[in-house]
Amino acid sequence: MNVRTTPLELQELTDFALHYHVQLIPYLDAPGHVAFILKHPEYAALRAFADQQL
Amino acid sequence: MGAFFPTSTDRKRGATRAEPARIRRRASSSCIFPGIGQRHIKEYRSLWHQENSYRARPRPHGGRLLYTGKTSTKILLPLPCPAHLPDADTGDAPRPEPVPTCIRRLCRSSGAAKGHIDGQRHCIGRRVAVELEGGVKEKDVAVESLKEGLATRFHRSLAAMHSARSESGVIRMALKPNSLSIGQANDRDKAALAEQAYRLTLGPKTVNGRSQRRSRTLLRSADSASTDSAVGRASLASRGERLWTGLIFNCGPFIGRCHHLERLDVLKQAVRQAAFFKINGFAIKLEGHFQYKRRSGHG
Repeated sequence: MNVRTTPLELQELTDFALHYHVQLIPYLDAPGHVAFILKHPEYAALRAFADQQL
Repeated sequence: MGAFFPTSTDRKRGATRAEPARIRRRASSSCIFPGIGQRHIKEYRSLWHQENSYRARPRPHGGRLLYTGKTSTKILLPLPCPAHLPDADTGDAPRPEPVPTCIRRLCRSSGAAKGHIDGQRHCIGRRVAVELEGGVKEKDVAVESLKEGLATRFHRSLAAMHSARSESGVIRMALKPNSLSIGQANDRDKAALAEQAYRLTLGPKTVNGRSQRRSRTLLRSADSASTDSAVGRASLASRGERLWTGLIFNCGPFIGRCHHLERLDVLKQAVRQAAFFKINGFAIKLEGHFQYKRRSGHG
């Protein structure tokens, strides 16, 4: 099962880490591996070809 | 030495001799200072293998292997510190060069930690008193962490706070500016190192954790104090003094696999564990794991 982290959960984890003086660093593949973001219609404008279906 | 010489079959195969038992024993024996002598053990092992192996040398007539082994005359042993060191100083006076040269040399591989152990046992009872100095608050995460560490690891509890005395032992936690000197370090930014430095002094029944100003460093000190102050590993249960000079940015763990992410509570445990090991940066891979907000109307 692929568990996805919601923004609230990620914020909770960030706050927890900061409480222990640990900085949480989001890691994103870029630029050729962000199809998981660009596949959403709201980010279509960021695609190299907006009409392309990912 | 005759038993170690190769047989004719070994020569033909070009095989390396098996390690004698004395080498295996020495390499696998537990060291007085875990992690310190390992480098020397490794050197000892590699030296033996270097000098006791068969090497194929190109010959014009070809094919024949030559045994070049010889008896080692160099012996490197995991030597403990030869100097007898006095009891740990629990005073507040800054000491510019507290680390004996021999120990610093042995600890060089770790880089950030220095210290000495005087060989005497350090013992703290079941109920430990805590003294907070220099503006450390009771609700500080460092104090919380100290409580948690003592309770979960060693079943010790804090007897009282604020200048309380206990026969079971006292843990003092203090923030004191300009109380630590870094001394020799690989990193040139000694001011940044000093901000994260702490000194942990283990007396017969006392643990003094002192850091410069940041609560973060005090937390590391508390974690170390909770580890060192009870019946832990042999070396850490001894009295002595250690100086952690800190790292400017110590980012170690990384969580993120393409199709799997742990639950939030497991992630928190990982973060907490990272903090315990003096990690101050934690990378988490978001690809495919983060639920991006969607505008209304989109599927």
